[in-house]
Amino acid sequence: MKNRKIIALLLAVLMIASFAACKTDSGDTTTPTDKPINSIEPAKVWPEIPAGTVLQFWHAMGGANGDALQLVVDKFNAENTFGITVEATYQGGYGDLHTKIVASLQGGDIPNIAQAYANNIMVYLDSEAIVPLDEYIFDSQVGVEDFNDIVQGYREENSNYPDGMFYSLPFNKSTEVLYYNETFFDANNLTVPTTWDELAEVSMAASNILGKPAFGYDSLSNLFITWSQQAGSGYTNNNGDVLFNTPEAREALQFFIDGIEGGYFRTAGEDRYMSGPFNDENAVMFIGSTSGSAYIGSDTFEWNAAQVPFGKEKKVIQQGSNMFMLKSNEAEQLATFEFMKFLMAPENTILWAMNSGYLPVRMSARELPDYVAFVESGVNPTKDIGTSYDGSWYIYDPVFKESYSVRQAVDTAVEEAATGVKTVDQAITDAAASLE
Amino acid sequence: MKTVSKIIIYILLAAGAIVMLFPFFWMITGSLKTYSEITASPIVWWPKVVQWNNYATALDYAPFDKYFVNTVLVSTISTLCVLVTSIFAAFAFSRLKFKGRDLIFSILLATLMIPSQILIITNYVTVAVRMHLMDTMLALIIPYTASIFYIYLLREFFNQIPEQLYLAAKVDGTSDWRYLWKIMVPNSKNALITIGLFSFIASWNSYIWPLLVTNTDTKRVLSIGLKYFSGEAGTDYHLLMAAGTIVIMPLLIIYLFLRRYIMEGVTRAGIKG
Amino acid sequence: MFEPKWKTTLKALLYLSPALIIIATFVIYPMFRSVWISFFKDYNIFKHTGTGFGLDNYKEVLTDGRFILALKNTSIYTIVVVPISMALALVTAVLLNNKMKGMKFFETLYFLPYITNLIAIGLAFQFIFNSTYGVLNKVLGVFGIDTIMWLNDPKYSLPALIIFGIWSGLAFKIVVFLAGIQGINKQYYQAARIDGTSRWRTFTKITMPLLSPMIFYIGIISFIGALKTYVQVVGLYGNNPGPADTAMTIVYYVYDKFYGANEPPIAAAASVILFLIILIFTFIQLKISKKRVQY
Repeated sequence: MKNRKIIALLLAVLMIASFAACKTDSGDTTTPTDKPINSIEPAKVWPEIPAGTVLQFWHAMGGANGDALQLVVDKFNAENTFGITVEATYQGGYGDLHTKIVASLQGGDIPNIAQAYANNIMVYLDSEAIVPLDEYIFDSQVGVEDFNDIVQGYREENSNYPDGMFYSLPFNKSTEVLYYNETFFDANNLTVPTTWDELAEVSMAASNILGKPAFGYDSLSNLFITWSQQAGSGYTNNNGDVLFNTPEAREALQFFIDGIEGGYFRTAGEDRYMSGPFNDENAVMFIGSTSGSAYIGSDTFEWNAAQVPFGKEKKVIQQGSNMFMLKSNEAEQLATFEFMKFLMAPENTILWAMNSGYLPVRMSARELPDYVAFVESGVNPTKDIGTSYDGSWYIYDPVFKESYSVRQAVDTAVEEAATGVKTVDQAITDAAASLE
Repeated sequence: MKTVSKIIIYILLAAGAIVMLFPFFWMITGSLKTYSEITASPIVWWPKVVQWNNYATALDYAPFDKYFVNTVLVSTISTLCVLVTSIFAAFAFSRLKFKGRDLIFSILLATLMIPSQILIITNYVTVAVRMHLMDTMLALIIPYTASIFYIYLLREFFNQIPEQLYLAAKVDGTSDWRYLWKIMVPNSKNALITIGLFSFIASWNSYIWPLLVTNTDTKRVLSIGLKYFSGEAGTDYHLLMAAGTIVIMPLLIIYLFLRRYIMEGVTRAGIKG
Repeated sequence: MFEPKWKTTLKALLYLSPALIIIATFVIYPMFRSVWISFFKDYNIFKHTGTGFGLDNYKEVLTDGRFILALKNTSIYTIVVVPISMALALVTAVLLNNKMKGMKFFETLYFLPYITNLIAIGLAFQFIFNSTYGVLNKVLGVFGIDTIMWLNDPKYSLPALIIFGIWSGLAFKIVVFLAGIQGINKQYYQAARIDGTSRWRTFTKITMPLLSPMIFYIGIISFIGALKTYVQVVGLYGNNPGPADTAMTIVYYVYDKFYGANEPPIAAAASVILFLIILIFTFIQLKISKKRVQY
């Protein structure tokens, strides 16, 4: 008799104790370790997406990239269980698309989702029609699976807005690689450079053989931004402060100018893109975007890609644009998010990468068998190199409205120094001064 | 005319023609090359193998057939409107002596001094938002139905017709309307065709406005199609040249057709009836 | 005068109304909005609200090194391109205006650039200006001139743009001049022939004066157009206005500030400044014309 009472009491105590424990547990959520503080709880009630929902997607992908996009869009339209149809409309190049978005945000027809550079998205925020995606991303029901699998640099860039919210998600990302003429290198016993010193050395040797500058860099602003940070300098920050007026930045630019004056480095100049001279074997190495690989090719030599040479620090630029959501009704917004999730899902992001000039947005995607096979087929060496960079090496332009002006100022500085109009020191000083 | 002068004239004109023609020649040969041939250095003048397939490939990039119909429609209608508004306005400036004529003309002339890039966003709001004409043919046409550029030119042509005719007609009791349509317009066929041609070409090649006010392929125009060949890291020049050649062919045909008509419509002595 | 002035004025306004309505709605109204925006330091173009009313933007533009450069480039461009292209066009039109065989054919050839795609033209000129194999350098080489890096050298990028500008403006001018010459009353020529006037005197005493309104029209339009140069820069240089900005024009600056740097008030201020510059010079030209143009 007594035992039963004790057992009953123990059970009661146990029950009360577990209730108490449960209560404290409900405040705990199992979420990724670097989830931002501003997530929403408790769990939101999501609306039903009505079948037959049509979403408008404005993009700037022409040519082969446009076909690749349509491929993924068609897949979504066929596979999604919500009955959503996405209509993707080409709106010209990035500049034209930006003009169109700016215009339509003034009261016209806005799409559900569009593509833009982060600093332009920043401008759109003034319209109060851009939807912050945090409550979608981190929701337990509709959220993104394994969000941390998305490349670190991409996650950082897309939340680099003033309030730290995710106003965009990565879409067509690219980076820079070193393109080189493998046939030429083999024939002349040259090794692929991995450091600045090696780059200068190999360029000098190659230039002597060629009789003209052997190495070029497509984007002069990237050159400045990347190499000065590789040398340890800063560039800028979200307040637009000039952080590149440093000895390290001068060191980086001087390295390039020494090459120009020494006749072993060049800019794209009147050829506009290095791909032209490279294809004609008037240059045998250049640093350019992975999205330009479609324009490389020749019947007379084999080309290959390698990681860009590094200075003191390993830094490489992250480029391309992102996708963002515009306000509509709750159901359409959720539908849009489902589409965004689809685009970022491993099997879809590699489908996109394999058919376009861009890279998969997830780290794990690089290991997927289809992608591995694709890389091994060697049809596009940049895909391999592009995904070989560690996520922490990526640098991107901090997001603020005037970031374009900063980039422009350093681009001008490089041009002025490269054409001999100013010395390296003067060019950088003037660039810094122009931004005050 | 002396033979020597004739030869000199031919030589000069031929030299000038070569210079003027060169880009056209470059476009056509470029449309028949491969991508690497177009960007090759040193220069490749003629394609090793003529790439007729560039044309087929280019046409696949965008629904050029739909775009063609739209472009013809929009260009024709806006040109007709331009002619009407220009005829009326040029007549007023040329023959009617009214208060504020110079002032109004100056104000209108001032409208040419504004870079159009600044105006389009506001015009978009006017047309697409206020007038609710987004994605319609009307939106493509309306802003371009009048311009002082053409009015001014037509005024100068109207002024070439002697004022005595007008004064005589007034004495006879002819109304302005009759005079305009019975005398001035028939005697300005040359000018009107020229203006119509310029307006048509401008409308045919315009790009940024159609891009802003249309979303669907069923309303878009040829110039938008040409944009499909430019990408982030380069341009498919060979295909762009092919598409570009296709796009200007109708203009060339129209010009050749009108050229003969203009020659026939050369101004007579100016005395009628 | 056959009618009281106010009746004529009313009638005139009626004739003008279609054009006036269109132009007022699509040019004058947007222009005023631009001017309005130019006075705000910060303007939210989506919400149509602004803060910081004043002349700050004008100060900023007028002290911006890039704007000064654009101003300089545009001025040089205009002063060189307009007279040269007008002269060339006039000569060509006169040459074409004769009864020799094949003139129609030549006219067509001279008109072709007007309808050719801008990108094609830009590409062709890139080839012409190329420092190693470009046609221009080859021709200059015949005269013993060293290779010039037209598109790479900051000293020569503006000249390259000028050459391109002259070329691209010719077709329109030639057509207008030709139409103008052919529109001159044949009686004048008949009278001159009867009098036995020499061809040169016919040209200077009859053709030129009677063509002067057309010449003046082209002069004004070309002048305004040259100050607004933008499309040619993009055609020749793409997204980069010449090495170290040496081919940047005012409208390029405006466009860049509006869509690139996303600063509409600055762009608006720059375009107002441009407008005032054009206005002043056109006004001067109109005054001169009152004395020189004959009908």
